[in-house]
Amino acid sequence: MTRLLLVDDEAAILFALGDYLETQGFRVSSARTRQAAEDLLADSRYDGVITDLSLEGRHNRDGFAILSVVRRDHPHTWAVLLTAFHSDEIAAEARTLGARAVIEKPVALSRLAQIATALADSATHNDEDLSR
Amino acid sequence: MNELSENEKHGGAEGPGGLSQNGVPSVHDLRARIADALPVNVAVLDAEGTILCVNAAWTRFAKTNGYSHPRSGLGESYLRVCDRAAGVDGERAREAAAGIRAVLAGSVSSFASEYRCDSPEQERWFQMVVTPLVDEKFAGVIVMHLDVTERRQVEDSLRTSERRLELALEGSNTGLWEWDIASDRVVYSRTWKSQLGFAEDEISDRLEEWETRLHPDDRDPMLDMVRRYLASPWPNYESQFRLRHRDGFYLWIMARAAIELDEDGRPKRMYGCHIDITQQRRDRDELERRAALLREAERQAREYLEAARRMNAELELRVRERTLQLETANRELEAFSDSVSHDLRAPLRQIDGFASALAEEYGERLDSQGLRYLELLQAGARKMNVLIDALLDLSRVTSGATFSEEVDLSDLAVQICAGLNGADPARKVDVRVTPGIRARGDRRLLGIALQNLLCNAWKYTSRHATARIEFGAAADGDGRLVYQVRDDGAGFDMSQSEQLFRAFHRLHGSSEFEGTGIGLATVQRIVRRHGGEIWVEAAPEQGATFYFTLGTRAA
Repeated sequence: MTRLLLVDDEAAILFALGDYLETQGFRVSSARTRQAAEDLLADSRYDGVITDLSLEGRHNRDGFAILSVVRRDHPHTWAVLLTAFHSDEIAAEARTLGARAVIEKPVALSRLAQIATALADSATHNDEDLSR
Repeated sequence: MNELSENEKHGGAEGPGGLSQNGVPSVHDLRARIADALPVNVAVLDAEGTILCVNAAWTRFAKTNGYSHPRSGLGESYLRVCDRAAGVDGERAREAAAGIRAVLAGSVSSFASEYRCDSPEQERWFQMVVTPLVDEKFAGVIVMHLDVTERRQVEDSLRTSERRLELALEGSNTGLWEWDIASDRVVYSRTWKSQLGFAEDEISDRLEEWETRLHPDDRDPMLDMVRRYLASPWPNYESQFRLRHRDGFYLWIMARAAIELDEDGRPKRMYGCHIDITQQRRDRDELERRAALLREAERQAREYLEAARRMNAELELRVRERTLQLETANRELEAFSDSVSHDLRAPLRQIDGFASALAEEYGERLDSQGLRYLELLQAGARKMNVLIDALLDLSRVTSGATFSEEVDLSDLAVQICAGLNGADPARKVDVRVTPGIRARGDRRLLGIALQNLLCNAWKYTSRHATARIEFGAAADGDGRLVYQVRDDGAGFDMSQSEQLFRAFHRLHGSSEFEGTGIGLATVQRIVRRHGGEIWVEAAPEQGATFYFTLGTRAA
């Protein structure tokens, strides 16, 4: 079962997203803050991380910090950035930090599940040994 | 005990058994009886491997297992029997022969091997033991076969149950540990180690392997709990703590344990199991987080609703305040208009009245010039009256309550045109009204608007010998119903159209067309009060078309 960490500061979005992805067969952990996300990352293994760019306020860039942690400490975990304020600069920065996809909010839940499934599949095929 | 007779033997052995002279069994005889009583098959071989003697068990075994040799193999070379055996049994027999030879040669002190030899009914296991039998007069070996079936069965079932336990522990991912308190050594099971990501040989037997991997927050409470347990054990020891995995993250472990005390009641050993409950803890934590999210989302939704309600209430309050202000202003304006018209009309009536009196009573004394002045004076007074009426109309249009009802505009237009025609029957005007045009609005106000527009059309076509005035409606591109009043009269230059709707503004001098300059301003206000717009298209001597909407949509 693919294990996902979802990070978004909007309680309602986080809840809905988690609920939906669980119905799609993912095992989901939720975090509303950068600290909570980093704690969960330190404690357990995830196949993928989906994080919002701005946690607590629209100019906040905690999503980038989370991408960095994933890239540094969990090289086998893929990451996706969500953002409501999409720009080429943000997309470029996210790619530099290892994000496999940058998704503009709002995004249909089904679309997000498709992306997560595709990334989970490619991860298992490219790197068999991380499937522990 | 069967044995070879003295002349059959190669080497010296003890003499034949039997009773001594006095009927008491000889020592030899007693030994033979002991040998026969043994439940072990025993044979003595000489240095060449020839069977010298066998006990009763050996003989019985040979018989039951179908060895046809009349004397249970006495005198036969056991080595040769073994060498001759064939098949899988043969291989083991040859091993046995090699063992016997090795013992005979003195190269090993003894030889033993276990083999399987099933009876027709059951599986049987035997152990063959070969030991040297050597003294000054004789060199040979004793060969013994022990039935070890029962031991093998016990061993097998032990192994099976051990394996079963092991599989169960591995399958349930349960790690075992056993801490010998005196030596302070701990036996950790393979699963215990693999839970933490280690191989069998990567964890030593020291207690620190556990202690140092405890989560910093759990270390002191756990060590304290173990100390208290050792000091005074309680039943069903159970604890939960985090242990660091080889890869740095922490596992949640549930431990259950028991204690074994020595004769003096002091703790001797503590042992127990580790169950990895990380996933359960995560699931539980996530469920809690999810519940908190839901609560938070609900709280936010309630807050938003509350804010919306507050804003709504504020808005309503402001609307009420503003309405109140407007109503007050309107009332004041009405009062003002009423008093103005009243105060203006009183002196006007005086002027008109005394002018009429002057004309009637003193008309004969005035010359024609004087009478002309008097006429102008009366015309001025009448015009002033009309102006006051128009002003009152304008102010009533802006203030005052409006009603919304279904109004047949076509009907109104026909009535108005009939009135205009009645007042001026000499004119030839072709009036065309599209029947059945309706609108929702205030009948009185819409009547004033149409009156003004049609009056204008009537007035500005008065210089032409014949004229046409039309009233109609059509839907525009946005689905709005657009009403129009068209004439083919004097028209005007479109560059002046902006000033058209201002009060008291006139495009034509009163010498050309009579008018107050208030009519179109009034029409515009009425249209706006109905949520509509008004505009005009015109050209000098090409007539004018006034368009207006009333916020109604085309059917």
